Amino acid sequence: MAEADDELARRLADRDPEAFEQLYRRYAPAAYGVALRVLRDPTIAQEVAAESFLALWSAPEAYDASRGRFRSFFLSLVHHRAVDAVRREERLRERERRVNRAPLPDEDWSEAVVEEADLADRRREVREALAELPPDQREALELMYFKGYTQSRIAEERGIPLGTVKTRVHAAMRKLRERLA
Amino acid sequence: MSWDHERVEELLAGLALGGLDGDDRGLAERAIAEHLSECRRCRQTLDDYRAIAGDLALAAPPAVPPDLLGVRLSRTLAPSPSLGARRASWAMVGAAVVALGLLSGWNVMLTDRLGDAEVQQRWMAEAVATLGSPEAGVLSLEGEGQIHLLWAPEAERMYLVASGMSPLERGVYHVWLVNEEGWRSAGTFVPDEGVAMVPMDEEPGSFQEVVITHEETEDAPTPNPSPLAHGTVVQPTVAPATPSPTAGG
Repeated sequence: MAEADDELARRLADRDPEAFEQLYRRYAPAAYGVALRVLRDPTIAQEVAAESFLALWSAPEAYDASRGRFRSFFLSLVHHRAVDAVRREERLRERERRVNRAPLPDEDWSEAVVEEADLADRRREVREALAELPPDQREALELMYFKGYTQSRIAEERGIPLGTVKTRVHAAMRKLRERLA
Repeated sequence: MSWDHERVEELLAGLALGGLDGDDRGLAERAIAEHLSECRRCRQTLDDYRAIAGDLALAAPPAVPPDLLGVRLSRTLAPSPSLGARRASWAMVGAAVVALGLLSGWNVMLTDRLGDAEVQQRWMAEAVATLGSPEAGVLSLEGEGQIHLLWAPEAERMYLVASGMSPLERGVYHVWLVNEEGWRSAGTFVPDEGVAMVPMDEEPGSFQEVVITHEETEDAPTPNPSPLAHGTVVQPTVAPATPSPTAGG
């Protein structure tokens, strides 16, 4: 049976490479996947994923089990680093605009990855919860999360008041909280 | 300042998603410092929103990470040099013999050719001399074909020797050297009947990884994220014997 995240995280604090390897195998596809989705550049996505795992190895004490699940903590770490990177690399936006505005094909990557059952179940729940959001709320949330847009930028690019963006994002998070928390 | 729960939660939603800028970010940080320390409801909201923000990553399709990622991370957690050296010493004997045999075969192939044959034979002679050094090092890469990196402290160059490589319809095989600062190109090659040799003006201690990729062009700025072969330098290893050039057959 797969070892629980919290036990592996505890072993990380003892500098246990085997625990690190298990966490890597468990979360590398999700970490690389979200970095790739945000950055749309395999090389930079790989850098972000590597930095995130190395940060975990260097400072495992950053995870506080009393504040939430390891999965959320680590994927949030990866996401924040990806957003920081995409904002630094503004030229990526230009490349994306020139080369490909269409969403990346989700199913092509998903089929190649075999995940543990609970992670796959949670992935399905998250996707279903997102799909149930009203389109304007979902768009605002996805622009912020997967494109690295700030609320101000969404307001500017969509031509809507900043307050409207804030309201939509908050409403979306409330619905997700009811559904997922 | 009095804080309204609704307003604070709105800020926390944007903060958890990483979407605040300017004044709102400062306001959110202030709310955390001034209000959340005393408001259990908003503390719970922040924890929940952060958990959701983490799990939203799962809405992105999972992707098989490049092998290079695992290689780089495993290097960080590499076993101690003494353990690595003990393991490598036996493996290097076989690798040295195989590499010499390879070079001999290549030599035969080149006898029927003109053009670059003279240059390549000189490389081969240097590589044989390199491997003949009592302090020669050999790194055998894992993955595509049989690829060995040869070096010796007194030699001017390192040599990469490859055999059993798949023919390429287009593009080149690219040799990358990786260290803590990133990667750099060390040359490209197109195998001749599966065999190739690449002389490299590099210092053995200046990198920890050798990675072979397939690239569309010779001037690829960054490695293809899916390497075809790779090897990790544990430490310079010593070939214990000095076999003759015909020892590998």
